[in-house]
Amino acid sequence: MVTPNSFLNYYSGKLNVIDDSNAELILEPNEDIKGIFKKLKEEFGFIMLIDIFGLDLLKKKSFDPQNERRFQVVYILLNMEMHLRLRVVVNVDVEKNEVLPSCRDLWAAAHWCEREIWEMFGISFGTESEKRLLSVSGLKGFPFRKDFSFNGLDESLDSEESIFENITDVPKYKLNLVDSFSIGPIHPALKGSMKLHLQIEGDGILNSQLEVGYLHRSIEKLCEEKLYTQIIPLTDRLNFFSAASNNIGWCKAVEDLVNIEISDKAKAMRMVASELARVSDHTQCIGSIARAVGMFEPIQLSISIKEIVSSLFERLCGSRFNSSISRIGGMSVEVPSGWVNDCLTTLKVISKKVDEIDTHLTRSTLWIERLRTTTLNAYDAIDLGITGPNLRACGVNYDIRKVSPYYFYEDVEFEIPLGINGDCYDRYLVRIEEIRQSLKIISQVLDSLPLGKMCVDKLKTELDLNPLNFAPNLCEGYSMTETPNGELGFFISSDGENRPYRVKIKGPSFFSAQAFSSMLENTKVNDAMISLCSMNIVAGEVDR
Amino acid sequence: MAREADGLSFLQTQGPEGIDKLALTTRADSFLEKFDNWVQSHSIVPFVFDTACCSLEYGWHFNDQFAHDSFSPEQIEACDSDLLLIGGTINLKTYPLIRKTYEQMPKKKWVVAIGACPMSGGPFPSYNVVKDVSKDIPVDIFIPGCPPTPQDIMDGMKLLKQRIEMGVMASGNS
Amino acid sequence: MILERELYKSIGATRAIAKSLRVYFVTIISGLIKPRLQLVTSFSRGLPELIDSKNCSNCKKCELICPTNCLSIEEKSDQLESFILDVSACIFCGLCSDVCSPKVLTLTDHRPLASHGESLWKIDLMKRE
Repeated sequence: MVTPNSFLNYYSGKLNVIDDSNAELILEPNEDIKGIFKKLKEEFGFIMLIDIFGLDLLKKKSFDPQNERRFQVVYILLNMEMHLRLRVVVNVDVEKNEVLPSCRDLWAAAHWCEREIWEMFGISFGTESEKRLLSVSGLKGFPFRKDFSFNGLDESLDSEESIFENITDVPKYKLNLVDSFSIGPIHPALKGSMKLHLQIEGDGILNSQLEVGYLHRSIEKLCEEKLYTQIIPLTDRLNFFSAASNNIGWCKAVEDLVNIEISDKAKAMRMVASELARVSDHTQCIGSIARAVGMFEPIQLSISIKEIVSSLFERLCGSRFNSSISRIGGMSVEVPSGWVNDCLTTLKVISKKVDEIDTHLTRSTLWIERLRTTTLNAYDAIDLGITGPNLRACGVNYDIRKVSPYYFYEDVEFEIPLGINGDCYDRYLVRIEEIRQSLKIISQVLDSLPLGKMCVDKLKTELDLNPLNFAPNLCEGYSMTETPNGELGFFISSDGENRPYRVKIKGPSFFSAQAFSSMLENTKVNDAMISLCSMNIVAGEVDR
Repeated sequence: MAREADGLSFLQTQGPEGIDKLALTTRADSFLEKFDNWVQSHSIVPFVFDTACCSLEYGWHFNDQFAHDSFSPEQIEACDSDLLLIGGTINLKTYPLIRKTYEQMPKKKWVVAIGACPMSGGPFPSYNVVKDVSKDIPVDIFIPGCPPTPQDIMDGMKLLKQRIEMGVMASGNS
Repeated sequence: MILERELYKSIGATRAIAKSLRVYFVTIISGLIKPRLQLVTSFSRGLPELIDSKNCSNCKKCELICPTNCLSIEEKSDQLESFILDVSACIFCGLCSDVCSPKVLTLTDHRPLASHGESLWKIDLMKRE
């Protein structure tokens, strides 16, 4: 019987408890890393892997090249019952060719993370992880190291290898039905550019693979050269359908790092902005599923709902989508007069239109039959690291706004819808119900909006909040929020200057994209596009 | 860069007389040429190359206008289209595709770049992003903004229509 | 909350036809009678503008904070000589006007910015006052 105390006592020498929901454990590579992870997963209940990333310590002020190893690999694990996030830090030295053991058989979500660490840092996890994921083939060197400089591409490394192996166990009369083709990277049903390779036999899919990297802008490398406030317009462009929640996630991460408490009105308006972004994102997703099926009436309705939400944002801060609405310590604009009234009247219009979409789609025979495909098991979903509405459609009750609430989410009343089977119809039902719950949250917050100022004012802190001089002390931390797609997390490591040393962005669509190819067995080609739209895989979050 | 007007700034060429001020070669003298341009401006076939956030603004509006004409945008070939609409960040991995698309289009073609990313890399000055698409692919109309509002895009399309009616092409073949 | 079991069963053909007819008539009639929702937008972030260049304190904070480095300021003997903005790189985020302390740099709502590709995209904000 495992209790929180038994876990804390077992590793009491090496464990560093930060607060109720965060802890840190430091390991060296000559220890039995694989054995420790197996024990953590099977005995102590850390069943979900949130992220794996690498750190290069070369330019840190306290780095000692003789006595310390240059690279670090950090794993973030989640225990869903204790709501504890554990950071396991492993020091590794690439010069001596130290190979870390791969965790692919414990958590299936680790495969793409290890591939990304290999191509960006050069740390190897075995031969299976030495394949390119995001960067262009022909790139020389490892981009995220501190001493990297771009020297042009090497044309000779560009090779066209076939992605699928030849099928041999098909009876001879079916051999000429076996074919392979690809969809993308530019297609109206895809959200951003990515390429889907399919190997088919007649109408059914045998193998599939999603190729990403067509929108890789290396935002994390750019963050190391920019001020903390200059990163806010960059985070807008991650999940570009709901830009306001990404801004709020970044500002919340910086404020948690230095323990700044913002004013009550700023907290309330941040909640309103992120719930409006959630309404916009979910209607976009439902509209795109309807477009893939071929029904045109819900598309017009979802466009009109998005127009209403965009014009509300335009009245608030001047820009429809990429708004950069929050700043470190507050918001960027004050609420204009009359905005709260406009918002409350348009909420009624939005909820009527959502009911109209409901009468068109829910319980109609065509819709249910086309959407009963690609089921996802709850165990597989947790293994693959999926969070957000995709996880709740499988029946797992996990929402950050309920289990580790922030701002005023404890004081408002709302419910979390859960699905049963985990197929596309469940994801659609969960999203429509979440829109209704978001409208309920917005009306409750706006009915009792606190007084005060929202822009950055005198806050109780010793740090200088001027954007050019803001420099946290030597610290690092991980913080997360619930965005429309799942858990968006930021890991910030600061070296005492006004630019961060390392930023890692955990995008929820990255893990959905990895899970997508294992979901497509025994389905038909027509259903592949519908399930891609229903998982809401946005290329800006996958590639960053 | 030139501070005095070596060329004209974009604000001065925005109106209908912009083409005269820039002294571009037009092709609208005889009746047959004018008729040709008129037909071209009413039957333009777009090839939408959208990779990122700018696709939100025009993708949903322009793509669905063709729904009731039974025109399915999924099946456009590059060799059948006249107008290349570039929106979103262009990557080192995506750049060969756009180059191939441009070369496969027929000789009379127009190119419109939407957003700040194809013009100058936008907010992403990293090693992996192509900073200026117009160095290799001559562009007719630029629409700055991040992302530009639908009103901006409609204005840009009106300017493009004037360009087609006067027979002006940036790709150099007239 | 678990969604109701009723939602997972599709409705029969006669009920579906009755529902479609009802939705059809209701949307036609309500489209004719109900007034359209008119939303008034106040302003939209557009081209930056220097209101009063004589009050500019040459602190160059706007140049340092710009995420795309599209501003470049030249001064001659403590007087502002030229203030160049590269419109092709500007993302209209508003950080430069937030940081300006004498408040001489603001964002106007001058929005239609499309133009021909052969024109220049760098303008001098001092000459446009």
